[in-house]
Amino acid sequence: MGKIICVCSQKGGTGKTTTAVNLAASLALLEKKTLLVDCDPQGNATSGVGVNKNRLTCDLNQVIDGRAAMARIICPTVVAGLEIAPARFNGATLRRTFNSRNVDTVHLQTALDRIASAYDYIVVDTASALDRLTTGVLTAADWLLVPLPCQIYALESMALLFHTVRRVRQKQTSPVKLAGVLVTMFNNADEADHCFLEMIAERFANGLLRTVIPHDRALEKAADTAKPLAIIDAGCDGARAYLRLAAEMMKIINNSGQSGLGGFK
Amino acid sequence: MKLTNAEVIKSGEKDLIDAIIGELDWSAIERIFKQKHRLQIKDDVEYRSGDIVVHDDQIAYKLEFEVKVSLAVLVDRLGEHLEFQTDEADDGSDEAVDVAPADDMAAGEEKMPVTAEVAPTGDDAPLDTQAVAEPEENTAGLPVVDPEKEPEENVADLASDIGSMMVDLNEASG
Repeated sequence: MGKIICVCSQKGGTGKTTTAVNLAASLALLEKKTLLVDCDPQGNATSGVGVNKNRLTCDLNQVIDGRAAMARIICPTVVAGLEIAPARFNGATLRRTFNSRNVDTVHLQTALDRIASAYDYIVVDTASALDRLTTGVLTAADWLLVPLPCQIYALESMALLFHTVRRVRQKQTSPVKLAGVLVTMFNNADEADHCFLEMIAERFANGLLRTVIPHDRALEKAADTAKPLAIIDAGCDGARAYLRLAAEMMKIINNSGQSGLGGFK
Repeated sequence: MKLTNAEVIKSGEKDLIDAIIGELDWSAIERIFKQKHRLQIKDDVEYRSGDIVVHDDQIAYKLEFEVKVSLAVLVDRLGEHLEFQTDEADDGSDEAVDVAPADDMAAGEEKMPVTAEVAPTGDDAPLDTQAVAEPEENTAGLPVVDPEKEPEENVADLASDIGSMMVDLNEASG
């Protein structure tokens, strides 16, 4: 049964989509059959794996609305072994559709459950909001990955995220586990970033992932070309960091299966 | 005697409602709620559900929304209830909204379902407010940035508090 990893932070600009796209691509490159689910109505992750949104006949909107099966919308990407459940930019109708339904998480959760066995990992990108769409994803997810740039506001927003996670867990039979916090856009030349990292490393203990994603202009350039970085230049810092992240996530998830505990215990 | 497929009718009705919702002027909807219900809306108006109804002998589309508003109660020094008003009344309007408050209700934000009926002509049809509120999420006490602290101290304190939240979550999942 594929494990569902939700990349979540209600703060914008933390590297959620970059992380979802490059983590999913890296898992696929490590020969794990992976599905990327674009639950951000902006649909950037869809573009990020080389899918032309204008050519789509249906997307996640129809799945959440109960009008299409997940299998019907899934399409291949530029990475072998990686498929995507895409989202189109439809004037943010995806979020509106989801928020408008009283069924809340039912269609999304059922859809993910039905296709989970076909994959090793399902990586879900979320919007920068803790609305019903995002809490629906949290409800459906097995694991939570929180990207955190070295910014105090991003740190502050994590409190609300974890507060929400606590609330979501009360409704789950199999509660979402914290895989950990991933430091993103780390500037090695900036003393303030080192200071920030040191402080959170002391206080988050094992909650902080070992992998740190460096600020690498190549990641932005890769997004410009609608491809994950690893298939453009697997040797550059950003790509190597995401490959390390994929390996670390696999280890956390596999070890958890044995201990039955969360990712950072 | 079944003459056609019920699923087709159901699906067609749903598509019709979805099409209506898709074309809604959301700012006009908010304006209606503000003007006709004197609700000072705090957040986006969210669509909940829709139905086809008969209103004044004509077909109408009943659309239910959820809006977040600020409500307050006034209590005098003897503990007696004075009145109940929205932000708008606070902001200068003389007229307080006449809604009976719950005995133990304190000042705060409430999410209220609001129903709008849209006539096929597109006119603003009469609106109906149901004062049934969902409890608002309590986020008081969450760690926040303290403007009076040095940045490093803020980071250290926030990280400590969030680290504790993570440990709690981890223990809860064990």
